[in-house]
Amino acid sequence: MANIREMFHKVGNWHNKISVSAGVTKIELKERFKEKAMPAEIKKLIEVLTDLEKNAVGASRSLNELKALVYDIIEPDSGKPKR
Amino acid sequence: MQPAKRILIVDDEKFVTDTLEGFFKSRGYEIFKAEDGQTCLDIIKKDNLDLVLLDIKLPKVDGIEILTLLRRDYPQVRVIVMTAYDIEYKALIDRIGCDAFFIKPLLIDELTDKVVELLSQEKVSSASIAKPQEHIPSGRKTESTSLPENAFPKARILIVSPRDLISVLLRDCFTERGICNGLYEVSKSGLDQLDYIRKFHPDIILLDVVFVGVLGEFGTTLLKMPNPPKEIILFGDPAVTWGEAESLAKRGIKFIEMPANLHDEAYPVKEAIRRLSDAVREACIKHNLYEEGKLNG
Repeated sequence: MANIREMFHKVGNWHNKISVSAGVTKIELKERFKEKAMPAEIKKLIEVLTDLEKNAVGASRSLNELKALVYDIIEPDSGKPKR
Repeated sequence: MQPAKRILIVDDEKFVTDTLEGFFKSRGYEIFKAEDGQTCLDIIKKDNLDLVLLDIKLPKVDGIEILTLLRRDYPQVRVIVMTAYDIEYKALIDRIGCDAFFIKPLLIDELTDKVVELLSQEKVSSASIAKPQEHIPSGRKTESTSLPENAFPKARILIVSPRDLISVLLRDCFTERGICNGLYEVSKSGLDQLDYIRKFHPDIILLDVVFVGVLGEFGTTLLKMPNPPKEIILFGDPAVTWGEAESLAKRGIKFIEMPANLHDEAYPVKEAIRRLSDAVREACIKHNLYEEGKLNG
């Protein structure tokens, strides 16, 4: 089983994957559908993707706070409590 | 037509390198990818890159080591660090230096803007960096008193002071104001000095005068080292050890007064830093520690 440090790293990577893929898709859509000719559902989709990016950032921020709390009491590589 | 700019994307997640590859390729860049540090190093050595998007936590060779190598041996390559390890590594990365720092999760709009901005700036070719030293045999001092046109001081600087605030102030001043586009290390105890010097190989040491008492032995040890520093500049409160500092000045070691109390109006700290930066600049000219092109920051 992965240690605590690796687990935090993995979760962080998931957030990054979500943010990168949402961001790339958003920009591609914006470029393919120019502002004037953009169908309403594409506009909506771009809004959703923007929210998704923001949510990934928010989730990561909470993860970092949690990480700081956990690292404070547990040694992240050995998993043993700090004395 | 200009050749496509070459970008290396380094991340331990294949999904991320693949996605960014497709994205930047469609914008006309030539893309290289690495999912571990060793592959990254191989590409850096083999291909003439313009920019590296560098993750820090990597298998085999970590990103810190790669960043240090890039800054030391490939200063013309732009580096954007992208890491989730902001708390642990930020200070270290600041010290080594990079062109931009992104905390994951990445926001693609911001990343793209930075890539475009950095790649539109003038690039310093490695040939032009090597040029000044090719014409001057090692050990010979140049007689020039100013930098060549379009050149800026660049040196590896070690700041040694027990006063954290002074060290940070000096490092930030050199880095942010662009006085010298160098690599900086800070050592705060006299005992740390030799270890730092062995590891860091500084060109210039800025040494707090409170350590002046150990300079005799320290100086002898330095001279025996394989890569002794080219210049030592002392700084500190003249009231403390002026006698010793004066005798050192006679031996050619420059001494810059720096108030013990940073709010002392008699010795304004800004003025002291300006004189210290002038001394660094002079040392860079004297020892040909400069680089042609634009100053970062």
